[in-house]
Amino acid sequence: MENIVILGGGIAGTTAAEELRKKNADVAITILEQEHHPLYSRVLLPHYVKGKIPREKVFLKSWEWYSSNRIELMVGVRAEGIDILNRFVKTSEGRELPFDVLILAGGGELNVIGGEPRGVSYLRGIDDADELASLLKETLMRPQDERRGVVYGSGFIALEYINIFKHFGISCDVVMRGSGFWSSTLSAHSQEVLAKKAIDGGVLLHINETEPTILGEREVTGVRLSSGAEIPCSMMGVGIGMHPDQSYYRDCGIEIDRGIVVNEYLETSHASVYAIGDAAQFFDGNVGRKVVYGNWMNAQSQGRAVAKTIFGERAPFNLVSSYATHLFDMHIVFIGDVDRKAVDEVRQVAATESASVEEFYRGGKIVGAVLIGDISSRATITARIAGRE
Amino acid sequence: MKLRIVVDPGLCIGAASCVTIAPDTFVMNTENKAEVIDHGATPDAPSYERIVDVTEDELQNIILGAQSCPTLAITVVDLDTGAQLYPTP
Repeated sequence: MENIVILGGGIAGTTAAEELRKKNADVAITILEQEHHPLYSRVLLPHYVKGKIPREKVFLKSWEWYSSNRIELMVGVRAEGIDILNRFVKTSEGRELPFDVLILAGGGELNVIGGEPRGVSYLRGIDDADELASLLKETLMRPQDERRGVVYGSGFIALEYINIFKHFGISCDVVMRGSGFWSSTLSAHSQEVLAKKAIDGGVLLHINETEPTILGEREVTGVRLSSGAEIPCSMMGVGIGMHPDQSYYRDCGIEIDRGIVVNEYLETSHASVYAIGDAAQFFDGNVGRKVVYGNWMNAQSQGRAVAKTIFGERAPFNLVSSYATHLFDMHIVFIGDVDRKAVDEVRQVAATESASVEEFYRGGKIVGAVLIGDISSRATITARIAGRE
Repeated sequence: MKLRIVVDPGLCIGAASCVTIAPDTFVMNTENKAEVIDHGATPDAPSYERIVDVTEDELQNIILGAQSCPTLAITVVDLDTGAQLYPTP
């Protein structure tokens, strides 16, 4: 083995590179990364935007780290195609990078509205966070009654925007395509608990708005709802999900479903080609089916696991991963497989005005859970999903 | 060796990756923040900061736990040498 090529320099790909280097001093390791930065933590972006940490603290690796570990980081470069038979990756620079081992570790692409005026922001990468930070500064220079933000979305990123607007005392209207927060995942009660928390915090919710119109030519001035009502705003945050970028591997012969299909060892059907992190649809033995998870813990752990597999320490990937967030001071935790369409039964095990706990079951076994407002059962549910209790 | 292990509750977002990797050293509290424990036990009061005596193997796992934190909320200092082991300065 001479060349390992990793497509994607996020936490999954970079962890893989780090662990591979620990195990082998000689193999050439190359990471292709579309963005122009060394590894940083997307999870820290809200902290940075709120001014809780300086920008440099967002970065988890320095440029020197790559050179001292002899990991070649090619930034601003995309894969354009993969030739599995002849073992090379075609890059956006027109190069053909040979590989003996290939690790697909790409993230997703943002769903965007497109053609939006200035003031409309997204929160995916550090470049987005920089833009959001400057938009916030501009809004905060306005008189208090003109500091108005609109959030479009109802998931994790929408919550980050709500928390950010609240932090800066900017008024907040949330426009949702569905009936509430995570309307395809959560029970009606869970949605009610979150809606109440938001409304009590001064947020206005507008539900079932599938096609809001963004107003303003060069700068955003407001949003028009289906009723014709207009919400004025000086900035808007959009979080309407992601989709996998399959453009460069769609035709290379590997199996694709909702992600790149791999087994419990993170191996594709082609020898020495692996997929990890957000891109991978892997067999999760704890939940008994192939899943795609888009969380940090899963991505990082798979980076570590694939390095072991590549150097012969082959063991099934085993992790009950979770994703934690908050709405103001209300804690929210998603654990394991919470795809409502893929389970047999969802049990509402706690339902109060300020808390909701749902457990997801398949074949009589617990495979996932959502905890809102009461996270005291987090550890025991995690252990039950793992089959330890 | 003696370590000082500190969790910054202002940075911790409750991802719980440290608890998954190093369950003898970290535990989630009711605020959804990680606290430091000593070999699975909580001597005195619960705390975001603790001095613990560990073996070399335990150290490696605690560093992995600290490294897994997406918000760099965990600091590990070697009290024998005074060196900060994570995040590397």
